[in-house]
Amino acid sequence: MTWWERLAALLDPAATEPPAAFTLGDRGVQPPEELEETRRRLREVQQTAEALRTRVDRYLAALEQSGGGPGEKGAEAYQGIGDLSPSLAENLERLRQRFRAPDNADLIIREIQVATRPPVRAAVVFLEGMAEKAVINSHILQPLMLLAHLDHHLQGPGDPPADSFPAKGAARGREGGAGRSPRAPGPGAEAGAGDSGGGTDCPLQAILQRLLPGNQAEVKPALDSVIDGLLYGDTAIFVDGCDRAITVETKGFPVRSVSTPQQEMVTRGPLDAFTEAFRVNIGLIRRRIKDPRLVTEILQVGSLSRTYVAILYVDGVVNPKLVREVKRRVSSLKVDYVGSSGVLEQLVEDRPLSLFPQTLSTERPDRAAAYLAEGHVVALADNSPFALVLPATFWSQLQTSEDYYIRWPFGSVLRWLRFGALVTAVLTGGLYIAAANYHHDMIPTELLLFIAARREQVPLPAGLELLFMEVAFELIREAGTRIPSVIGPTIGIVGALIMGQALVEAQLASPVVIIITALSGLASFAIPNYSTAFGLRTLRFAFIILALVLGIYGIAVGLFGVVLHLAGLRSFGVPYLSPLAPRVRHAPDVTQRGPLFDMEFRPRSIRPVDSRRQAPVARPWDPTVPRRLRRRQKGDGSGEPR
Amino acid sequence: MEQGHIGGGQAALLIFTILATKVLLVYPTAMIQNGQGAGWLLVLLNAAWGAAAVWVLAALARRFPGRGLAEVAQEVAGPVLGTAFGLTVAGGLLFLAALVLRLLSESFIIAILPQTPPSVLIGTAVGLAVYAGYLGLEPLARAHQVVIPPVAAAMVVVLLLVLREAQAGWLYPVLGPGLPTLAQASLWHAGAWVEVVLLGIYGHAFRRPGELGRAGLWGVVAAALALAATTATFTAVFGPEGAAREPFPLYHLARMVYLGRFFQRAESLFVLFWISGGLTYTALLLHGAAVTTAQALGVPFYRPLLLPLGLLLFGLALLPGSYTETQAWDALLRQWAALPLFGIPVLLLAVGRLRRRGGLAHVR
Repeated sequence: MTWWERLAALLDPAATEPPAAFTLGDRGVQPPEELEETRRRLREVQQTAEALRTRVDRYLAALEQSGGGPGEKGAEAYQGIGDLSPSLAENLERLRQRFRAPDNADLIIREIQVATRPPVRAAVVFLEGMAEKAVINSHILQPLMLLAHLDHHLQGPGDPPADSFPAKGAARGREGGAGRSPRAPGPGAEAGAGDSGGGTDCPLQAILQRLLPGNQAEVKPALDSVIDGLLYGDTAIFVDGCDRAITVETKGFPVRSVSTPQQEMVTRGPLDAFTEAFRVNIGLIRRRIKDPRLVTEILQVGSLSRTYVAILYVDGVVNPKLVREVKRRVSSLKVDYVGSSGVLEQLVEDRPLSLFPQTLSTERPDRAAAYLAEGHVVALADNSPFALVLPATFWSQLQTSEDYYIRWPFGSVLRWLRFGALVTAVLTGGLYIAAANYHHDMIPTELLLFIAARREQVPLPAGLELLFMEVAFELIREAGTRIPSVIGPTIGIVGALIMGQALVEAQLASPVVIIITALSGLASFAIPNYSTAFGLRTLRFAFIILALVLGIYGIAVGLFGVVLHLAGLRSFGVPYLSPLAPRVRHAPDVTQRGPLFDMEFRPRSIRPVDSRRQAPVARPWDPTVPRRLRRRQKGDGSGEPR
Repeated sequence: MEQGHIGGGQAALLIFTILATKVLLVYPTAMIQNGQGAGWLLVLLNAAWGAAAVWVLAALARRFPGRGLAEVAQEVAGPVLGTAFGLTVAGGLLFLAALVLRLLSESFIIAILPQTPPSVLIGTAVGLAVYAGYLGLEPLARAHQVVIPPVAAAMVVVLLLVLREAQAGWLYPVLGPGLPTLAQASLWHAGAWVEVVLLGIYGHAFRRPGELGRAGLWGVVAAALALAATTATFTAVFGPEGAAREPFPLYHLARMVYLGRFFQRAESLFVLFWISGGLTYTALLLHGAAVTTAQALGVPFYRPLLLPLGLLLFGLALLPGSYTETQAWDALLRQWAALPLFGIPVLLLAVGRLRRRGGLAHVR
């Protein structure tokens, strides 16, 4: 739009109609997202109950076969009882449901035929970014698909006979009409407690002992234990006809050596940072959230660049409406090239013309993971070492990971210090000009005389002098950023010192102005978010000009305008100043950092479907916690801190 | 009209702001002129009229949930009379905003910007008010939540710091000129609380009609306490005689703050908040006038009205020739405009009951 079209739009009733802004609010008493989540949870409860029933049935059948009751024999019979089905298709379907596949692109299922005689259907399952693919190819897929038929000649002491691979017909028979019901006692039960192979018809034991050269492999009878293994980087092998699975240790997630943060340094906390490979970045996050509900959806953006954009969220925590909106915005982009998350940010945020970023950019996987746990969505663009946290509020731009890694009083002090830095960075220059040009009586007399004496020899007016110094400061900053990193800091320090000294000696600037410029510049570097700091530095110039024209009245007008602008911003449906304006009940984690055990709820402004973050008593061991609270919590069944 | 909603707390804060802004102007002085040492008591009696108006508006909101005052007027009195009622309210608000803006601008000129023409200050304030109105009620209410707490805190600090200059003896006799005189004076100044009519205008913005009454009452009580505390401090510091001649009481209280050689002249900080309060007031009244005009004319949008109404506000604010003339106009407007602005809601409620109008908007 041209400026004229924008101006004309102000008078056009149709154009000035309030747009149907996306909001997470006003969902009514029973919003559809929560109803859908409740239904989904009910389905999960039903599946868990089914699995439990299967295990009980199998346990009873095993007991019956072993002829023992509860006791030693019963305990033996219970060993290895699981809820996996002999049907490969059924097991894979349950696994897909738990990992929210196919939405979740991280779950990789490779269906194969094990090259035995006769061949057996199987599936190799792992999580992208968590497992080492070279190990999977050479130590799992290759032996199973290419070398298995050679293996029947090999027989070691204690090995099952080479012809112990089950007949093809037997496997088919199980899937056909004569097959067992999922709850019927499985081969494991038939084989007794000591058999870890999954029954006489199941080739699992033979595969485990002969075909898998991995140094750590074990048989898992239950789906939950398989999922745990997958989340830790193992590879699972499901074989048709077996009600167990094999997990092989193939951990291959990225480790600390990837790189260190360049902009979000902490003195205490993890020191790994995102890289340009988004698959590695997903692994770094998944390493921190070991939950099958962490979903990665991958979209492509850019007709030329075809950049992969991964949308990560924790299903069951995040508001589904938010996920849909993020996906809608990303997938609807009509651009040719998206080179980095910085480009993506400008294309998806609500008001791209604003000085303030409406997404939170971070290079720290721990920070991205913490936001995911709160119910945010994280977007990772390929070729970008920064993640975008959506939505973001103004207050989150002033927070760092370190606030949480140090004890709460220090975290709070640091935050207050940053608020002070914000005010200093934006207003110091303007207030000085207002006082020097218009309101001399506002400055204490001694200070006024001091300033006047220092300014006496300077030929430039105060406003021009300050603007000149601010521009010089920005020049030094920009030059320090662009020149090679080895000499960058030197140039910055030397440039600032020499220039400041020279200007004072040449009487082109007063020392007071140099102090004010240095103070406001330094304060702007205390703002942790780069885009926000940039916006505030730009605002500083606006406030100086307003003070030049209208004195302190101009500063007040500017302040009110900025607050209005911030109050009008939204980030993916969430008011930018929430949870303070509008005021929403929140944990002590906005302007101060309260004790961690007080942060019971996730931020309500983003309306997570599961708002409780931890149990009401997060430290049940603590004798100072009132017994009444501990008892009530125990009664709730939530005695263990989550 | 507008999709946004405001909560009870936000509405209470809005009402508090527009009512308490009077503390920056001559209201405390006027109360002391009439109530002498009992000026603070006169403020509280005066606030009772504001509370009564809230009660009427709450009853109206319960009867006509989800509708603004102008929409109710059209429903009750028909399209011609209803439109006339609505436009009267909008005009009254606009004129009130213009006079308050002029008074504030003149006071800024006297206190901090002696060489600046009023048109510059009024122009910038109107520009900002148009921008605020364009953003809508929700952002305006949120901006209030950010701006007003520090403003209120600064005022409390000023009052606390000058307490050592106060003499309790100035506040006696407690009833001043006597209760009948105070009651009469409170009725005469009932127009000082005319801004509560904004509650009725924003009737459509409340999720639950019951919130309107509670929010209004909280706003009126908080504003009354703030005004009464300021008036009492002012009386106790300057005495009834001296205070009755002081046009900017709070500003002069701020000038008295002295904490050693370096920490003095707190008025610099005070001026910043003074301006913020004034800008908030203007923005809110312009928005309210635009919304009421749109409702009265039956148009589904108000934003295109902001610019013309802003220009009108600018022109109206420049009409009075001087500060004293503006003060006289303000007193006159508040004295007589109180009648239609309070009377219209009462009339609408009475006629609505007689004609058995009301119920949920979507049913009609």
